[in-house]
Amino acid sequence: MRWEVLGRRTHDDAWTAVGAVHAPDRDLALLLAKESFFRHGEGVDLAVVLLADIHRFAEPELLEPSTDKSYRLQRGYPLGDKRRRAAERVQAAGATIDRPRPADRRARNTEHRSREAPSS
Amino acid sequence: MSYEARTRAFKARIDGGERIEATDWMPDEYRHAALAFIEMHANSEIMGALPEREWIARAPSLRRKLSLTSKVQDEVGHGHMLYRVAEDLGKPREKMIDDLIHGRTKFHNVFHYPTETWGDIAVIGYLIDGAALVTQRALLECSYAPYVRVLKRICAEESLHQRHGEDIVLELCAGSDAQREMFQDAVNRWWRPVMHFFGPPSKPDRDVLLHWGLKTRTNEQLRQQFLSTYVPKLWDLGIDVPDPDLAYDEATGEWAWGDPGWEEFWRVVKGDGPMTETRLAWRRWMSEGHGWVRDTLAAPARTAA
Repeated sequence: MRWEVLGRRTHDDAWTAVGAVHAPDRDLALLLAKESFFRHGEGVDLAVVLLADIHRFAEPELLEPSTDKSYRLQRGYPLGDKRRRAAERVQAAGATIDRPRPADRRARNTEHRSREAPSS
Repeated sequence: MSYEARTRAFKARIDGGERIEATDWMPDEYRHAALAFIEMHANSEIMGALPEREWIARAPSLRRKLSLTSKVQDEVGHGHMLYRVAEDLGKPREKMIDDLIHGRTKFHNVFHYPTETWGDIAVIGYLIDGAALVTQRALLECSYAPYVRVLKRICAEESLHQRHGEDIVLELCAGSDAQREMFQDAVNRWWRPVMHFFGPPSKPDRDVLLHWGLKTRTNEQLRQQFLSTYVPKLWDLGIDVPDPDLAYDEATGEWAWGDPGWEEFWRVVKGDGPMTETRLAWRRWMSEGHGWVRDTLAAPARTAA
């Protein structure tokens, strides 16, 4: 019988597949797993599960979206141009509010303005 | 070992930076505090889907409708993951849902308010998801390991939501005067609830969540972090923050802020907000109307002859 071996490197980790062993029963599978994969401080936790008890999704191609689902992804929202347009709009309206703030939060559009200053 | 000695050893584990698993022994006080905290988080994800759901049909483009639909799906998914974590602490999921929809347990104050315009969706996506991210990223240091594992995934999805919120904010702020005014008006209406979101300044030595490492930062630390991140961003967009006392002190590195009216906060979280009853009634109606779906899915599968 083939057993898949799962391990956790630290107590904070989720379980990860680390390998497989052949063994006639659970106890021997655990022993073989320990001796095969956990001799060198690889983890703090170990489990085995019968390969026959793992059910694989039959159609992995269905994990690929059939239509454009970029609205579910970070890259579906490119903000660079929008930040620039908003900064220009705020400058045009003279609406920037410049008040004391943490030093690392200096106005991004103030930098933008100073960069453009020589040409204007 | 006596209960007190075990509790002391447990507290020493937490103070030493160890994390607790669902299968570990834990004092009743820890179990109750962790359960109530995670249950409230789960409730808030479920109820937090509703204010935005109300705008799916009214969103200004198909793309915006898809974004909102997908976001609502994510929030409900967070609720499910969190109820799973909470149920291992000893309260059945059915009971948690039942307590929520009958108003016996709490959810976050911001989800008790109406969403009046598209500007409100910008505020929710940018400032409220931003506030949630500040608190949830801090919770990655929490002492309860199963909660941390789920929060890692939740934070990844929330940062997507926050980006989606910024996308809407930038669109409004780069737009017409009417669009800019719509966003400013929404900020004006939502600022106090957002300040309430972090809770009143608390006494750290009396906070049971801090004691057990379920939280590692105080309400005020989180509020200060939020103000430092978001107030300058709003100012850069020419959006004013409706708090005349709000000011950053460069000498102390601290923000001063005005009283946001804590009586309103307490009234709202106890279940007397402008939309509390409407939204709970909707949840009850959905729960009753969709009982047949749960019954069908829970029944043993019948194979075709």
